[in-house]
Amino acid sequence: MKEKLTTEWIESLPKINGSFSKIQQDARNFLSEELLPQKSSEGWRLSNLSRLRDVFKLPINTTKNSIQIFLNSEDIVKADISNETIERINDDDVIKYLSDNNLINQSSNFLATLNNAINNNLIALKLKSKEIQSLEIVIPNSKKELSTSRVILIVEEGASLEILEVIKGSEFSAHSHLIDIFIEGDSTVNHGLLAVGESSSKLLTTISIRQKEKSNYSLTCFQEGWSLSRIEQYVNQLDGNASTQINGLQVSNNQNQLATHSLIRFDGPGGNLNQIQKSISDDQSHSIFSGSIEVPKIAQKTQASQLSKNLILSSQAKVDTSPQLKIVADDVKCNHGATISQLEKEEIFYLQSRGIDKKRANNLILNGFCKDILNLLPCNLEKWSYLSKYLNPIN
Amino acid sequence: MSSKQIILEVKDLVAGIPGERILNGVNLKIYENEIHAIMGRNGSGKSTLSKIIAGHPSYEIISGKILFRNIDINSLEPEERSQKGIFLGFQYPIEIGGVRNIDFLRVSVNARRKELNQAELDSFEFEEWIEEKLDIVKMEKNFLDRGVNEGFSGGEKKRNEILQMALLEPIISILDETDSGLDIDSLRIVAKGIKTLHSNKTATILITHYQRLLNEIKPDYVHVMKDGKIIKTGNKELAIQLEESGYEMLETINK
Repeated sequence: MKEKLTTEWIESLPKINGSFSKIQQDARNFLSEELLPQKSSEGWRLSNLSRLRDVFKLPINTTKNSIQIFLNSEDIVKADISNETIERINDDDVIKYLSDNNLINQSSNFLATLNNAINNNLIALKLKSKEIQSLEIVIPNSKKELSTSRVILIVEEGASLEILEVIKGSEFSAHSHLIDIFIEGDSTVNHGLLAVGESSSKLLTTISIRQKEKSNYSLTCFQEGWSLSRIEQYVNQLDGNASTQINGLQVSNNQNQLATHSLIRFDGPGGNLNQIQKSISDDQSHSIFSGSIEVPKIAQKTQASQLSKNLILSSQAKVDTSPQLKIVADDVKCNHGATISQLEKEEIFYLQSRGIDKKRANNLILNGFCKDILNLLPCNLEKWSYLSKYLNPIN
Repeated sequence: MSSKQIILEVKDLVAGIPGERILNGVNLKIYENEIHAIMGRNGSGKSTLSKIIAGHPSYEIISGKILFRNIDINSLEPEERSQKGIFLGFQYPIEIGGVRNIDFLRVSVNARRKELNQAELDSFEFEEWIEEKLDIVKMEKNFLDRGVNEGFSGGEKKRNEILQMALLEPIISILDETDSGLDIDSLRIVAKGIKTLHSNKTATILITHYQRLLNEIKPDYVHVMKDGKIIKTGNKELAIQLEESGYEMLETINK
């Protein structure tokens, strides 16, 4: 099924003015010329493309500036704060940052281009404080519409930041989200994404990270319950010598299809990466993980480890996991592993023999499986715990 | 002593996994205050017997009965058997990643307390209560914060089993090769724990290959299993005989 987005659809997108209009126009041109993702392209081989096409049948949500941002629990969009901790960046500076070297070509990557082509909901901030700041970003959602959001963060040298993004899908909705984070040297960012959908909602997310030397970046993504969800993660250690930790958990049931595609690239020596991706798949759901790690010749002394652990709860559920290591440098330590298993009968019997009924035994084991990932989510998680039973503590 | 209550009775038990008989007519009667040892070679059916009493779903009973305090337990789920006071100490305790030992123990204890019509303990009460029990198996408090058996040494796993036994206060404890893989110090701690927990209202079954555990805990009866049957019953002397002449002596026993 080779098809393009129709001219009418592209023309119907709300136009924006100002610095971003060129990016938007380029993206529209790309979309009108290129085919929609095909089964034949490696990155989309396993995706449910008919569900992806359904995204473009929805009307566009034209509400502007609806992203909510809380800095240390204070709503800063309304207050429009600019102080020694945080400031808004003007569009020209944002464009400058975006045009610098970038791991994904945002003018040819489908998800990023789609976001750029619509792009009526953007917020760009610079974080400056040396003390730990906590930023909560709540992405709006609306029923039966395609909404977009875009966040750009620049974390200045020496700053320390926790970010939690919360995306909740509502019925028959689709959401496109793109976040870019530029992390300067000696700074630390602990980034969490909580994405909880409904059986008919869809999510297309791109996370694009650029890390300078001596920075620490940790990402923890939790996704659950979407009809179609695809999180693309791009992390580039620009000069190596930085630390990256990527953690993911996807919990799928019904006919959900949840996917994580990550690409971590080291463009300098001495970098390290620790990546753990987990999934729990029930009913007829499908869980996908594809994890690329690129270590070119310049990236000597890189240490990278990737682990994919998958639990499959139903005979009709499906898991696809594929590590893709491209290592050119010769003095590196890289390892990867993947496991797919069912709930162990012996584990359940052990708990039962201690008076714990089967249902509770299952839940204890599943909670235990999720816990090491969920514990890494930053900020005040209790506030969002209604989103998923997996976020609640045992009992 | 005729007023002694019978705790567990196994009657002509024939059982196995689908397509394979493992037990071929086991008979066993255990009264309160008794300690029984079951010995026998690998594959003689000792562990299978213990798992069937605890309700392991992989096994099926073809004929015969298991009565716990005169009630047939065949239709009870494993958790119901535990709540009623049947405890199985595992030969290979299972690791459950990410579940804190103390959370697991509390859920387990509260399930038993509920059955006994006792108030459930909240996490503070439980923490206080468990402290004295830790001393029975000489375990440090930090054991409780680790994942269930996760990264525990062989000895630590077995001590964790005895801790569970101490917490659940079972009526009958079936300890499946609790002595295997233990160094002499751990063996003493575990044996002392079992003796402390045994009372005139409870019963204990020790399943073992060797008599070294039986030097620490003196059984009232020693049963020898072979081919899914108890072929000989005696007292402590039988265990010593077995140790001296090996299981070969059993080849000469008919029945």
